[in-house]
Amino acid sequence: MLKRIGKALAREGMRTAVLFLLVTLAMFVLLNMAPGDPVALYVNVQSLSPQEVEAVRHELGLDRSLPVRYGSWLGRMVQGDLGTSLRSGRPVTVELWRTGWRTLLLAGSAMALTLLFAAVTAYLAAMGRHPVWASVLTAFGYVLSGLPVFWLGYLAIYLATTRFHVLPLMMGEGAASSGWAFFFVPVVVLGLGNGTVSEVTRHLRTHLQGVLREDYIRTARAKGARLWRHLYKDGFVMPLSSLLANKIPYVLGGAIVVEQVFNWPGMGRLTWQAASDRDYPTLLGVTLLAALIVRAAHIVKEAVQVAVNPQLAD
Amino acid sequence: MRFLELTADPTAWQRLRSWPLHRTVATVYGTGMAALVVSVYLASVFRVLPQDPDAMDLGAVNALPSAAHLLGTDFVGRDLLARIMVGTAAFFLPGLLSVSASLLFGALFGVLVGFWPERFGTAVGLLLQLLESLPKLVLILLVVALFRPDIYLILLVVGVTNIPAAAELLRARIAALRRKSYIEAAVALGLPPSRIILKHVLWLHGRGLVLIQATIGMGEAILIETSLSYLGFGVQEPTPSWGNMVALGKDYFFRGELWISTVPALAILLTVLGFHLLGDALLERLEAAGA
Repeated sequence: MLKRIGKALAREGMRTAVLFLLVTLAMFVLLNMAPGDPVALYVNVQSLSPQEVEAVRHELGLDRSLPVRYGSWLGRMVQGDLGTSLRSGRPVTVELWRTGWRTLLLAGSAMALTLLFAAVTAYLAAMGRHPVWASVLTAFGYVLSGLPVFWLGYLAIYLATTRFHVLPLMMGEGAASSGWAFFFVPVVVLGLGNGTVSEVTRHLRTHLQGVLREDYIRTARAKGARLWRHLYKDGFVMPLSSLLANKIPYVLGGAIVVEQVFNWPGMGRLTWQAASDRDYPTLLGVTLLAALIVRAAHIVKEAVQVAVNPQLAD
Repeated sequence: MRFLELTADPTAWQRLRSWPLHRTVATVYGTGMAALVVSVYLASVFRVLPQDPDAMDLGAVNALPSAAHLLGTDFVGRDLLARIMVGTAAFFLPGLLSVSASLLFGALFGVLVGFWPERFGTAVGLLLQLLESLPKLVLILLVVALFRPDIYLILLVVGVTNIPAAAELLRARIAALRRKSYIEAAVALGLPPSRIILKHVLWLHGRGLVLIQATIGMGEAILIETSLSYLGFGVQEPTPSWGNMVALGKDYFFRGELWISTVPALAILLTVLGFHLLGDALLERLEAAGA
């Protein structure tokens, strides 16, 4: 089985490598389509003579042809050099390390919460034993998916600061260490408010209903066996792993908004700041890291699914 | 299925009555909400508004609903109802642009891969996976930083990022249809591919899916537009968007004046809920009919 997983991972890794090339190419093309002379970002073009501007252009390597520039850009990127942030002057990789793990923590926990909520709701709805609870949770999921996540964040902050007193009134980078609530509240807001809850629930429910109609489930029921033992692989592990891979981009996007609402010093706030300052080296780094996270989720999904059903390796 | 016993084709009303109750409620609510959004948008275009959305009533600042201001006012006394109405313009046409872009290219790629999986499968599949690997908001912010923050451009990018979802739905549908005998018959009769694709596949069997994608896409366009306007990259003050209206009420919200932010948030909720419910009800209907 390990061999099959390895085979699937190798295939997925190849695909990731090709996609990485395409993503960087797309970003490079976007970068070159952007209006404005890149030289103007480094020097004051007006105060220099045309010869001096040309000299700077040559020094920066901007007078070379596009494929050559893409090659050298990609070469530096592979070595981990994503350039320097125009805003802070620090290397982009350092900025990403500083903020990335926080966002990964936030988005990962939020994703887990979304899937947990959806799994419980879908299970109740598909089994049909607690119709009232299932309806209430399904309706709740629809409302959560329509609510803008920033308003949900305001409500959570308002309740946590003035009603329950679990959060300090002033939040900022310094408050990041002030206890569980600072972590817990944003995770709940992002997990429930990222706008995918109703869709994930619906998908899981339809899938579960299909699995419950299978012959082997009927046999298990007839034997009086524990249903869960027969249900969890095809009913939960398979769809949940695909949903994890498919929905992680939405959660990462939602993290930008939630981090902004909560002043959470992560990659989302870095992205917001970089977009405000038009700090494009940072934005390119963020895009690349986000794409790598999404591909990592796909690789995890592939490994899990092949472990459950080795036939998928071929 | 009561109508199956009738000899004549069931009327639309009979079909509606044979549905489960929750699906009827969802369809009626969603259709009503979509119609409301269209009429409110048209009203705001023709300036049929209860108040001037930019007029400041300094005698009634942060007011709760009253006879003069049906939904209250914001922090400089502007009428919230009028601003909510004008706020539909922030997403209406851009949203349609986004939906059209995703459907047009989604249909194109879906048809290419669905009909000729050997020839186009790998290349188009990679292209679609590329689009799926980039988180929407991150890509949008990159485009905003490199070009200019224009809501049409932003929602065009949203439309492009929605192409994979639309293409995958149509591809699956077409792959199933291709094995049907009437498509084979159409091919054997020598009908041109364009006619088979446009009439027999897309129009006769794909329009339901297209409608569902349009509905879901519109709901998403509203969420993205409001999120970006909230972050300050979309529609800018003083032009109202439901997103920047929520952001404007922030300071008052934390002081306990919940109303100003909550009105536009509720507008977002009710509208997006309508589109989600309608899309899901249509999808459920399609699945029930296909099963």
